[in-house]
Amino acid sequence: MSKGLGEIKPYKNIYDYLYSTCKKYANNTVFVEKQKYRTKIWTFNDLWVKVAEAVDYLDKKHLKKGDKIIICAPNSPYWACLFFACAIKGIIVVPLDMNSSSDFIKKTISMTKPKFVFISKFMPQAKDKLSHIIYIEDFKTDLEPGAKAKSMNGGNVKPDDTLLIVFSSGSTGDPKGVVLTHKNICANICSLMQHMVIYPTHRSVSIVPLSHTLELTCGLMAFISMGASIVYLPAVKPRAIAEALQKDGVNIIVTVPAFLQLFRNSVSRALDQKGLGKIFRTSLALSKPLPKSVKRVILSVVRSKIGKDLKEMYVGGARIDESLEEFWNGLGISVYQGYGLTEASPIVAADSPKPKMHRLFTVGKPIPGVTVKLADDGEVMVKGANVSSGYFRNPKATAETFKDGWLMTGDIGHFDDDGFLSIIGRKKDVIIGSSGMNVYPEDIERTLREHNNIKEAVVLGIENETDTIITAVVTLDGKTTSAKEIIASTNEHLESHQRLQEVIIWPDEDFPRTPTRKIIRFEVNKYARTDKLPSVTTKDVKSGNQLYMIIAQVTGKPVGKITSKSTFVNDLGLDSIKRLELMAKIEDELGLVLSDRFVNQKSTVSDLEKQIKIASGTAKKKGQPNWPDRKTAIYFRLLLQYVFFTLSKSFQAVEVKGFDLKKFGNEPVIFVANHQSHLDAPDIIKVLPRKTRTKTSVAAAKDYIFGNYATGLMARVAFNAFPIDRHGNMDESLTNIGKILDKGNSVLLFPEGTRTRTGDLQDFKNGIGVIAPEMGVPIIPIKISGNYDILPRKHHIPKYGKTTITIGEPIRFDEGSSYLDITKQLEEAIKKL
Amino acid sequence: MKTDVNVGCDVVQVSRIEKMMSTQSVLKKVFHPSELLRFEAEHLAGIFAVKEATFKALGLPSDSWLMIEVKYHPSGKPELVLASKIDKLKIQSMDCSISHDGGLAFAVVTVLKDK
Repeated sequence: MSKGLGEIKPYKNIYDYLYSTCKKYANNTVFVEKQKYRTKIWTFNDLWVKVAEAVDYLDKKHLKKGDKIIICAPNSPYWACLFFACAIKGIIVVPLDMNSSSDFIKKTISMTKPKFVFISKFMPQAKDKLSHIIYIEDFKTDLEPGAKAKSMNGGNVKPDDTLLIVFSSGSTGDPKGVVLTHKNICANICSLMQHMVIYPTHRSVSIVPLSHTLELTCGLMAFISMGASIVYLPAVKPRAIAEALQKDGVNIIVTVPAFLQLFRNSVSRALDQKGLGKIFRTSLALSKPLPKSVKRVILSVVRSKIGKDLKEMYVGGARIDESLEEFWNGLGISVYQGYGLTEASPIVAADSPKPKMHRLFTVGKPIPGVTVKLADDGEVMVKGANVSSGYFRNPKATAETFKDGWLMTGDIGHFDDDGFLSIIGRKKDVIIGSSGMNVYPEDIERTLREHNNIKEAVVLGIENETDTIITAVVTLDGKTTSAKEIIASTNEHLESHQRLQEVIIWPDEDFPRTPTRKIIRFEVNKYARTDKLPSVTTKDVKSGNQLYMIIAQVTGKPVGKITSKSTFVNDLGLDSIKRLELMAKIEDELGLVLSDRFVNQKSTVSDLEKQIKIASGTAKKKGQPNWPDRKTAIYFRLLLQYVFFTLSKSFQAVEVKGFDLKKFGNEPVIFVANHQSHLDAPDIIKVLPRKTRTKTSVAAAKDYIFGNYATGLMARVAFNAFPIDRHGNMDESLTNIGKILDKGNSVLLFPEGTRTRTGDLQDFKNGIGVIAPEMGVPIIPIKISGNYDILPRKHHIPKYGKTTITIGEPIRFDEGSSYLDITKQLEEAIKKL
Repeated sequence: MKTDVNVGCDVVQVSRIEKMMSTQSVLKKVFHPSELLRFEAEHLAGIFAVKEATFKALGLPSDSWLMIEVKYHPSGKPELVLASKIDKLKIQSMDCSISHDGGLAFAVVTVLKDK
């Protein structure tokens, strides 16, 4: 099977790739960067500018062509910028999985001698005295805006220069690094551009770590080369992914089978709750189409879980269970399986939406430019510009895997009559965990043998319906020990993807062996699969009350011991740190922000359940309506405001002084003003430049203005108002403000929280100190005087008077300010006006 | 005017704060960005203990973390800054002290208040 590259001219290097891509799609969106409360949109132009800044940053760090750096950080646009900047300068990137143990990171450092290790400060490994650390968070803030590096050109880097060294823990226990050049990766991108069908309207959410070539080549570079955009989440967690699928227009994803499984579970649960699960499963099993009406109901349930836009999923990295593929196809979501390995940059073959290019349960056809043939024993052999030249400083492994220009994959494959490839199994004993990472049994066996009571061990991957269970069969040294103990003590020394899930104790003294004393693995394997011996499974129980599971995780108590009557302090031993952890977990997994105040000496699990019920009730209503932004609403608002301004002239003269807002660009801002009277908001709106006026939302008290339907509606109509909680729920206020600023609108806040009682400035509420730095927009202080005499509290008829509005200079706050300081500074700024 | 003396103390394992340092959402609830600039477990454990001791000394609700900021005088002595909301509790004067040993951070807070 071989095909040419067709009309696509391969890129010379990553600079060539990035330059052409950014030029072609200039003003299109490339990244949607979700922050906790804000969403930042990156265009291709923005990406180019940021990469130039990153190149300048690397110049200042004196990094040169051929130097190496390690990136061990969560996926984000900045990960991509750092990678591209290195590629442009010819710096070699060594990407590491965030779950790598400190040991593994240290081994990789000693092998590759990187100039710097870019790591997230929030990773526990960052504290393990690694050398030459740069926090990725600091990299982000240290970029010099608008910096244009001289070295921002592609002339220096040749196609055969090394771009990446991608490590996995090898079978000898030492990390094994695949060397990939600019040519390798560019070839794979060009092949995928011809094979996949991606348009600028496509949007994905980044799930697989960028340290895997599946995500880096396919999920990032191939996708954006065709103008598609990618959503980056602040943290890749199931709830955040589900939210992105529902709210951010994600219509395609690149992922590994484990995630398909996760989504399926959540969809199945939702179907079961509606009593539709059985109907759907039966129709799938009989492969009988459902009546249209039933299908429509099922789809609406499915869409409530995975969003209305998701149409396609590209899946690679591990074997996908047939029933999983059937399930999604049954729902009308196309699953395109792919086959690849890091050594091939990584894609070798893939299903494609093109005509006659997709067949269920196969990994599709080889992609253009890649040649695949089968050896006599069925081993898949790969050739092409995408194939690596070998392993980093490991000639022995290189010679074993790369033979006469062919990559020996170690996988057993099969071509059907139409040229679709299927992967049947692994030639080696390598276990592919469900996360898609290679697990080498030898590594785990060696660790097991170090256990005092274990004589010998065989590690196998036992596939059940959905997963590969890493199972050890062990012989004991006569002393007693439990499977549970073995799992616990062994897993301490293993990488997360290597961890044992099951241990079976071999009933005899020794394993069956060949005459040359080699263990007959086949016999052990057969025994492990068929005979039921006492064994312990460490997998979490997936069923049961989610809250109880969270409490169990935080407190370390078994789920069974937790009842609704358990008290947090006495029964569950919850102290202040665990209480904070509990709230964080509830926020993460249930999406609810609770105050930790209610967990006191006496409170019980059922008290918490009540709080959660209340919070999830308000969470559903959290969204703000869209109509106040419609054109008709804006015109009506201008009209109302005009009427008010005309009326107010009869009792009020308004003078405006200070900073000229017309000089300020279109950037959204937060106006912060003192509060004397109900006239304050209309008066400020009145003096804003017209363009700003229609685009400013006024914060109004949730319990006062929005406590009453009529005043709430009036406030929305006349002032585009939104509710703000004066008594605590900061998260809701921050979310609301973030959404308004994301739309490009400005916000007017009164940080005193209420109108003055004395005419003097009152203490600001602490919230403003949190809002200002979280939102990352300039703050413009405004001082109002005179309105207290015209219409103070408890008065309904205005007196004649003069109002002065003084506008201050925009203020920006440093990332490292204290919230209390910011509150004080703003208070002072207004006092001084 | 009579004066009341209030004392609060707290002790915390530095290793537990080190574990907390990988959960950003928790850090944001407890520490000001200014306090996080020195991103070291021992330093943060000290601040954590001061805040808990302050809750005890002033009888504040257990989620008042951000109402208190711990600053360091150039001499190395920790100082307390309170949000204006707390300032009004008739406080005449207050002080805090931190000590570290054996993987523990310990803090004492003393408050003099109008009776």
